[in-house]
Amino acid sequence: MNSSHLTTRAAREGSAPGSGKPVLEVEHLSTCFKTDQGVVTAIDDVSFELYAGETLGIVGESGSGKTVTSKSIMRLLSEHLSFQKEGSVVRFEGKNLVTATEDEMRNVRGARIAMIFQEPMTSLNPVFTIGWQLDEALKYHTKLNRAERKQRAIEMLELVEMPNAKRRFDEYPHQLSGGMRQRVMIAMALCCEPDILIADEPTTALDVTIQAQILRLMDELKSKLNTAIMLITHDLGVVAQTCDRVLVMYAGRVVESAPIAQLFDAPRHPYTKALLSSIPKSGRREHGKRLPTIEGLVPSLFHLPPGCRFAARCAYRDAHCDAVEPELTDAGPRREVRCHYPLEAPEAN
Amino acid sequence: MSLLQVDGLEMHFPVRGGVLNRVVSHVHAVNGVSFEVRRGETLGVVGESGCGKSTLGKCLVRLHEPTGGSFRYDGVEYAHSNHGELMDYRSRVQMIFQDPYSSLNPRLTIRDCLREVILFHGTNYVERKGVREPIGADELILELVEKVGLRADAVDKYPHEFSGGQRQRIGIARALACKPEFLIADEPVSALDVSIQAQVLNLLMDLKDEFGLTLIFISHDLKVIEHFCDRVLVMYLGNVVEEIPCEELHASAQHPYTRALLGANPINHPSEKRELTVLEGDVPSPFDLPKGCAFAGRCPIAEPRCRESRPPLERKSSGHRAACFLVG
Amino acid sequence: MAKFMQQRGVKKLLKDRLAVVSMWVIGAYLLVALGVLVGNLFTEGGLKSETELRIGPDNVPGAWATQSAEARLRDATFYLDSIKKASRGSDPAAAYAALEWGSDRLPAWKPDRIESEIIEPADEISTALADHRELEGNVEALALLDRLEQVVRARIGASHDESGNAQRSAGQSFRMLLGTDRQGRSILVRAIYSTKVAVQIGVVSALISVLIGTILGAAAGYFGGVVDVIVVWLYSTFSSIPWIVLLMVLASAFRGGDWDGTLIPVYAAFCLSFWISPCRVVRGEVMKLKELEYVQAASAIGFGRARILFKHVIPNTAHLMFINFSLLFIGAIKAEVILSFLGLGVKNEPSWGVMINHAKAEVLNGFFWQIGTATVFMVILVLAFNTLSDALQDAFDPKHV
Repeated sequence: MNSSHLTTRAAREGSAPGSGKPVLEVEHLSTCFKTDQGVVTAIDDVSFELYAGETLGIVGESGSGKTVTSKSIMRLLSEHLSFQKEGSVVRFEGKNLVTATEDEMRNVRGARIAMIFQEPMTSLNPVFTIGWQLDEALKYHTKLNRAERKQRAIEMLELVEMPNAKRRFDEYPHQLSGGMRQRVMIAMALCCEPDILIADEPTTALDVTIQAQILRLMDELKSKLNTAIMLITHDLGVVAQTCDRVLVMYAGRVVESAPIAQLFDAPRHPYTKALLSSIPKSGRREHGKRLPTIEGLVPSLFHLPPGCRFAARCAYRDAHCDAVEPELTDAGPRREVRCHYPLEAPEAN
Repeated sequence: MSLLQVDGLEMHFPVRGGVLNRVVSHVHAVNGVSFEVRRGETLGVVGESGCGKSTLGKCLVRLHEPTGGSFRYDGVEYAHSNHGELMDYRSRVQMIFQDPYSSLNPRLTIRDCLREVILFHGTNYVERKGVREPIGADELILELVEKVGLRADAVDKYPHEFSGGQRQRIGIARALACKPEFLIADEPVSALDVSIQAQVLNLLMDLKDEFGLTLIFISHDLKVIEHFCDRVLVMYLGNVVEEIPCEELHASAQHPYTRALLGANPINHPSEKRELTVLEGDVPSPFDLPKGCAFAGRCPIAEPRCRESRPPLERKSSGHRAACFLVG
Repeated sequence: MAKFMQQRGVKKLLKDRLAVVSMWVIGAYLLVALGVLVGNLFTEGGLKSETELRIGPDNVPGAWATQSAEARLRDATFYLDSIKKASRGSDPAAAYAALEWGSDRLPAWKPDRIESEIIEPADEISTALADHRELEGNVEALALLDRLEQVVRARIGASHDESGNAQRSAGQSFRMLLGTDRQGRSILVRAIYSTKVAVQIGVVSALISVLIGTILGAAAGYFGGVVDVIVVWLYSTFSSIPWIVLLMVLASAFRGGDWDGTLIPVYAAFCLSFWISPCRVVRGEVMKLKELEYVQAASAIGFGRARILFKHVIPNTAHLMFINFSLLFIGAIKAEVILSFLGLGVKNEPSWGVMINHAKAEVLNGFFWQIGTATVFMVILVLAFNTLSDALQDAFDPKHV
């Protein structure tokens, strides 16, 4: 929403990650789908910006619109079934990607903004070798010759800590484990040194020890290459571990955005607070206690309430919440919240 | 007193290959697992994919016939019983499945689905002061549906009309329709959203108290296990590597794999930020198990003898066993 | 039924306009087929005799054509000749009464009145006409031709007013709508009757094939082991024989037996080669279904294998049965046409294949209406079914539902 003034404030605040000029600015992005039952707005007026070297977490439950956000940025949604509302802007290097031509998009995708997906088993083509697939990406986006490309591909595999990179180069995806495939996906995503890496649930399909490997790898690569990472996940533990800033989404709306520590210390939106308290904590000796829950269900996007979308499940709601949807408003430094009655602000320290 | 006693349970699946479709090797999914479950407790089973935890659960409800070992339920051996002999066991031990989308028959309404189970096991009765009084199946269906937190008008709907969490509740109602005393829950919340997970966990907790159930809770998520269970079995490649009361998990877990699992779990809060423990390598294939300790290949403290012979599961303290030469 | 209509697949199907149109078309065909079937039961000699009836001269084009003068003369001469032939017999009165062209008849006059009012004046005009070489554009000759038609053709009709003037009956115009074949039989009547034959063959063989295929496939997929090996061996063996050869062998094997001339050899041939595709598809689906958790849940509850198979597995292959039925229905109709064209299929009855077979010689002479009619009747039905089965696949594909 208030992107311009957030940017200037970020610039004022100095050199912490997430400062300076944003590499990506998303303003009022709304994506609609045409379905059998009519047009449905999957994400509604989403605005945020992403800075070099920072990891932005986008958190939400299924149907909250987090994946649609990333796919809208990359323009990966079918043009027959979806469209962006008037006024949606995704500004990248001064261009609006929403209105960019397909040719322009091809130069952005993969080369400047890369994406890795949830399912490492299906995101690689099973009939080509790892090397061939890396080579194809390099051939398309760079001007390197054959030998240089091979060398670069092997370097990339080494960068993602692939053991025996030279031998893996000639192997097929089915010869690799899930974690190894996700490494290859990351290598492919990073081989053109993109400015932005969008990771859509990159570790959800992996075991926890493998997840730890991949998270550590992404963290190292971020500091090495100064890439901005947009991490989409439902797992608040992963967010706590890796992100600098978080955007919480609910039913297609951004409900809260905040730097990571502040969000976990003092969530200001009732949904964030409830979400945080509903996950079991490790080592907290809360064994056998009932978990606090959010009763009810996420509203269907076809039948959205006129007021706050979270009202029906909210412990703090009143008649005003049912009638009027709150705007996303500033709630402290670099924080925004969409609530009529935001929870107590933390003591400034 | 132990309700379920498992002794050296093995489940080896034959792998066929070659032109003649001969058995070329075996997948050692469960490889000699022994433990016991006491009446009224909740035992967690944790491990990564391929460690055999689901297969163990399926052996215990006899979806698979174990290839070796035995298990006794309430003093009776069921590991190799036939269909008829299992009938009583099946009404006492039920399973809750992982995937709420494939665990319900799409062509049956909730009423049909539950009625079938109730009439099959003849559980349409209520017990008042030790006397069974018959009630109508429909009455029981409504009671079950309300017990798992769904509205009464849900009974005439089809599964596709429900969300994932609601379907998981229906799956639980179906298991309860047998009036079981023992539930095996195979990753019951893994496919659900965070806020729905908490709802289903609370529901299971309430039902456990209300019906006095004993539970085996299988999950890959140590946080959920820790929260929900009394004791936990840590499995790696078909073996139990550690068995420990959940309360002691953080303080006294000894096996390097358990410690690695604890360390690899993402933190609760950014202020606890630490490096994740990273185990190098992948889980080895369960086709041909190494001779020694299955974990030796990834173990940060492995010694040559770990690769030579397999460490036994040794008692460390009351209720705590671990399979490692080098600890404790 | 209400439950059925509420299923998402059905709802989606009803939204597809093309699918709805094709369902109406198929409905119309089925209604016609049913009508013929019922008519066959309740009319004496069956409607089949109607298809063998001579309703006029050979190879008359249908209502779309303006007849050439030659053709008109030939038609009138045909009627005159058949009346004359009757008058030469020993009992002309009986012979006249027996004369019929479809539902058209001579007026019930005494033989001498027929002689004086039809044959004699007609012969006179014919003789006069014979003087003219050219008919087309010849005003005088055309006037003669009109008179001849009035005398001969107008006298023939189902209903006559008192003066004996008759108009062609509605039934006869209907019969003549698409012309006649080489033996003066109504093409429209034969094509309509063939609808029954086609639908009968389609429904019976598709139904039996899907039933056999589903049961064998489900058993193979669910039980696995020896059952699977046997079923797979059976269908690999059958599918390695080219189906048309199998059909020909079976069709000729039945020739001369008790069932020769009935449709039973055709059914047998079709079912033996058509059960393979539903069997294969259902087997694969069942292998997938039996790993699903609701099937596992059913065995954990303790249900027997037969109950699980019939209540929890097979009903969930219903969409495949639907789709396979519609595909095999078309397959059977097309195969019937090919088989009958080769002279191995339907006998003693008209069918589209038989009609196309008969039309082989006519087409060379430019008489296209028999082959055209049979083809159009078949194409519309096949097209409607193809559209429907595509729509069925879209609507019931579990990925989209």
